[in-house]
Amino acid sequence: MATTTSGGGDFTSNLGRIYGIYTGGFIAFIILMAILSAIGVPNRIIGYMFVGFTILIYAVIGILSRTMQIGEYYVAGRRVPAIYNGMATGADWMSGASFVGMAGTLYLLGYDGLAFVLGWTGGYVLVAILVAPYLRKFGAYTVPDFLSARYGGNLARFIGVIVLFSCSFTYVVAQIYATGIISARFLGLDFNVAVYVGLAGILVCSMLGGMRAVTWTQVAQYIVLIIAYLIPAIWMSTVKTGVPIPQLMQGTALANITALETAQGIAVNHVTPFVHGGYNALNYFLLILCLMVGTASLPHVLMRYFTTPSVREARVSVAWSLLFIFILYFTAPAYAAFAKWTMLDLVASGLTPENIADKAGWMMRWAAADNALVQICGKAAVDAAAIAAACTEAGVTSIGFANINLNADMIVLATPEMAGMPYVISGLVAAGGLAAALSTADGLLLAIANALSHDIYYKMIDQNAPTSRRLIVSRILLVLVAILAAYVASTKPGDILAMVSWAFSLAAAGLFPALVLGVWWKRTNSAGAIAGMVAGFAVCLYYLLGTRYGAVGFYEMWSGLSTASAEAVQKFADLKAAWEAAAPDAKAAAWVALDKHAQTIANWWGVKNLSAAAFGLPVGFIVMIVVSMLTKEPSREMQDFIEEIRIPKGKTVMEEKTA
Amino acid sequence: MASPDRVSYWNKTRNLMFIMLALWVFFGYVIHMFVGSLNSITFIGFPLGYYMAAQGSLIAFVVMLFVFARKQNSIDEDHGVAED
Repeated sequence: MATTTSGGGDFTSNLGRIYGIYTGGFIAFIILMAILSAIGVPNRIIGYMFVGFTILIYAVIGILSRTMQIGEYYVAGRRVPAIYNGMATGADWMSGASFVGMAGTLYLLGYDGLAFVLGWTGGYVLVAILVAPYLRKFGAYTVPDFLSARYGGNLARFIGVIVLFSCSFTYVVAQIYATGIISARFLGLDFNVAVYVGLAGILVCSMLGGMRAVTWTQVAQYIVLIIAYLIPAIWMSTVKTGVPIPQLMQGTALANITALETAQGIAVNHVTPFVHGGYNALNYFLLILCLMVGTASLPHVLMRYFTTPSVREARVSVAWSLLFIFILYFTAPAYAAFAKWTMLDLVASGLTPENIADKAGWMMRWAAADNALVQICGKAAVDAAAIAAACTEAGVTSIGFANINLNADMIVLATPEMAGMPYVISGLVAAGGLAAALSTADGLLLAIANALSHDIYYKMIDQNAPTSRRLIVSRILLVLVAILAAYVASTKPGDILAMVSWAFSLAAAGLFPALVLGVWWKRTNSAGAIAGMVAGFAVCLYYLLGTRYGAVGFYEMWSGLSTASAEAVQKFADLKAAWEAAAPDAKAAAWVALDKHAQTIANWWGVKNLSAAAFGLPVGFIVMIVVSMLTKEPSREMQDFIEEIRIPKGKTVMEEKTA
Repeated sequence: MASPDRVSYWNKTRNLMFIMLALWVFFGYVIHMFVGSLNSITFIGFPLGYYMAAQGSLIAFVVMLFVFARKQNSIDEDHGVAED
């Protein structure tokens, strides 16, 4: 053990001091950047330094944490104290999308966007009470490891790996895509180059040290991302209300938003529930459910709790995780409210195509970077002339709030400019967004590579592989998966990005029943678990793919369950007839129109595609219970095994050979 | 394996789990079903229904988890199954 603990014991007892110095150093760095900016160092250089310095720190931590020990590589030696594991989980959890996109979604959807805030926090209650402590006692290296031990064999393991891969891979592609976008915007790199720069940043953190390195870089990344998120919110709150507590002053912001919205003649208020973006009450609550249950099933989150020293620490660690996540998530609605208030104020001050270049030049810069980001009067707001032309065409003389369309993903990144903050804050926000995306990508890549190397290679292909070969295989797979993900990201796959939110439904339907019943209901047997996982996952996948890629067929098959209005049904029939009657060269266009319309009405009881687990989850549970009841009860040994994981005392159930 | 103490341990653990799940359902779903009526009350400047979804329920979740970790630990200790 002498080699495993080299730096380990000392390191863990000094954690507070090390990260204290690190946090102080980061704040000093921000101040230094502010000074450099004030004495005239160009923005481009400031951006480079923010991104370069933070990535350098992560790389140094990654290299210092390199290891050749299996236990260190897979579960960080199970020595991570609860509070630090909580911070690491926070970074692991909060993706580029949470950081960059969530406040933007809240800005656009108002109350209805809060489904994401609730869903992505409440899931931790399920993690703590139903799953994490028991998996920790079991002593797995991966989630499929548990499925295999509990449900007797490699079939359950293999299905677990398939679910894990399908929910984690699209997710990791989106993270690499986000790092590419941020690097491209703030470093001025070509997107294709930026993606591979992001990839290098991810690999230095995870390849040499596995879970151990990822843990300690994630703690560092949490500190960067939370500072970067809080500062602009505190800034706006101070400027607008004089009180530097945005969460508290959000009430004032909401009151002002409502007043300004009324003055603008906007009928749908920010705080009105169940009216934005097609979220009626049913979809609002189902989305919360899917996100919560998905949280409790995502392997890259669950595996963080394998690293704590004890079951007791695993429970406390979930509480710390949620606290650290909460700090960002209860700031997000305030962030959105202050950004919206700032925009409404801007509009209320009398915005016209003539003065927009002076009042809000940032809109044109963002629109010039990507036409879809800012649209005014329905056209890309690339310059004052384009805005004037579009508004004249639309008959608008004074630009109202409703005439401006901001993309959800740019709002956080553009807020510093929107609220007139110095460029240093923009650089800081970029570094924070990058930290969020990198840390999540690290966790996901490790989850995928570990499942492939530990579950597929070691457990299913070569059980006699020596430790050194297992570690080499893990690293090779990690690099291969990372390169594949970066390649997919570099093709800018719009569909993949939309699929990210599917990960929650897939994980929920495919894994949650098997994990929960495996601990809480002894009667669950292998046949039941396998049937339930397959059925739940299949129903969920069918709904996701059917409503999106086979909408016409899906609608025709299930038209009885669709909530389409009479006009929508008529429109479908008309489009269908038009497609059938179309000349051969017009068929394709007619089909696109038909398919697009079908996507809006292909559903079961009006449930959005995003909440597919609303069907997969109950199907998974029911099939698992019914099939288990119809087949033999688990053996005596299996029941003893379950007894064993239910109590914290004693060794982990599964002891790995670690030498 | 199933000594009386183990049975009582598991019963207590399960009861705690159901209590936490009930609270989770309440703060995750039930309270938000009344958002319309709650919004007519103002709480530190927020409409209360909005406040519960933006902050109130989240605070409840965090507190719940720390309380849960503590309660479950004392159940462990009472039944002699806590880790050393």
